[in-house]
Amino acid sequence: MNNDITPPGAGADSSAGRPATMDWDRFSEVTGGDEETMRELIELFYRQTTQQLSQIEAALQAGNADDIRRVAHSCAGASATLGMVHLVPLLRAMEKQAAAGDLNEAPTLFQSAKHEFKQIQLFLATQPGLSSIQAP
Amino acid sequence: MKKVLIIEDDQIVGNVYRNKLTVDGYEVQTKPDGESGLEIINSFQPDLVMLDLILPNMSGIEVIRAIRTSPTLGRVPVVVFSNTYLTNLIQDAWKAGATKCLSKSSCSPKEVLEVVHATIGQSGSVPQALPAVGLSPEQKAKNPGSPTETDAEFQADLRKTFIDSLPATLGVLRQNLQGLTRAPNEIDRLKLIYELYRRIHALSGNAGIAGLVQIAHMAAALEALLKELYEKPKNINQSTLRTVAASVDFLGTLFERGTLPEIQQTPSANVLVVDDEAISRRAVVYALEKAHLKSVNVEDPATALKLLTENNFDLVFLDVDMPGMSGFELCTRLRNLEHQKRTPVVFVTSLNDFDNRTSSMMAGGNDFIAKPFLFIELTVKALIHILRSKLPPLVK
Repeated sequence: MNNDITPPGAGADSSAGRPATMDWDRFSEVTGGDEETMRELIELFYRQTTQQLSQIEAALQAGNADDIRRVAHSCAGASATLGMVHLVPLLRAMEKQAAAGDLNEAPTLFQSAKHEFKQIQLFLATQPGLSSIQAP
Repeated sequence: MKKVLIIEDDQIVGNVYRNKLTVDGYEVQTKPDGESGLEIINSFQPDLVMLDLILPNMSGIEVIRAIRTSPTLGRVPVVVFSNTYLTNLIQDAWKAGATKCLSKSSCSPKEVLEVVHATIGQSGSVPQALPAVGLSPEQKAKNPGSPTETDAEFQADLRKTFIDSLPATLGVLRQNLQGLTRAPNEIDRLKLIYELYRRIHALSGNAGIAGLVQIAHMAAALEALLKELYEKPKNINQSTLRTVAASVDFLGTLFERGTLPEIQQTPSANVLVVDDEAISRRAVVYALEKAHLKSVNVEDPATALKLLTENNFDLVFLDVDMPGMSGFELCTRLRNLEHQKRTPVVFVTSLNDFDNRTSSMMAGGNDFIAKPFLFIELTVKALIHILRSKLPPLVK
């Protein structure tokens, strides 16, 4: 049995001084502080969230509450996993209201979610190693 | 004669290592905390320091930093004992200047001696004989090893002593857990989490030197979860507390059924992860990798059902809300497969949906975990289910 614990690669950054757009501790835990993993996950997050927000927009136009609930639920799960603390409550509210068949606030929540997604991109564009990643 | 300083707060672990090294001809001093270790380090001038990273008061990381800034001892090798599940702590130890990191839960005294030989060479003096004949197992744990005593005998003695102590240990852990569930306020709850964490830390180390790998691994994972809860109390919720309780309960099962010498390996396992959303799916896979568990992951429930029909799995993680077929429906269908009737199934669901647990049990699930989960919580859950499914039946 090998009992050695091998030395790590790049270490996790400190969360000190970062704005609250995202929970950096959470993001570091998911990525293990590894820059390549961070890039991979952010690319995936950008691609997936862009697609999900388009789906929500289409469902809003069609008045399809069940689609809104399902996509918002999925998007909230991914965002929570990565520590996107401001985006999650907007999506959860959209999911909850859509589940109750109430779409009155959905357009406003959707616009806020789009804005918050943009804020996340602006924040990550200032981070070393992540600045070159663009949302589709 | 070469000299070794051991800084370890667990007296049994410290004594076992001290005597192993003394018998091999090293001059050894043991100290129970960082402060007293640093007090004597300049006068003792060790050739090597062995250090537990989890210490009361001054942390192991602070001790390494203090050693590395010493003008006379800055280059002394520091071998640290850690917990493989505490990855951030291990990163900090490497950054602070550790020479080698060993897993406390899976390192035998013989292996520790080999590391000392490899790092600073043989002791440079004649090995000593310590009286071992006529000693009780407990005394042997404190004074093990005449040179004639084999490692196997020594290990067997340690194991017996440890196993004899398990009923009392379980009583204390259960009492601690009971207090935790009844804690009247946050401060008391945090205090009890810390107490449980220290006890589980000691259990992991003692099980490790006794060679009881399954108990040591389970305790190491629980230790990491409790440390996370103590340091970040915002993560204390229904899901994490339930996982802590289930872990203590399962340790009781391992105390009863997990001590046979022939099962002292971490079993390999085949895990299936089903989630239509890529990031959550990846998070589950990553948490499993922390426990060295390999998994197959799929996004489509229909593909998952096909895999489940054609293969055996030791554990399945299911997202609840999936298009086409919900996790509950998939679970009901897999229970209709003869070879999957007993496969443990854990639902991954949002904390708001914790009431879904009734549905999960109705669908034939065994457990559930709230999303976003702590990675170490998922690791702990996976270990409980896999180790439990591979235990030998209880013989009355």
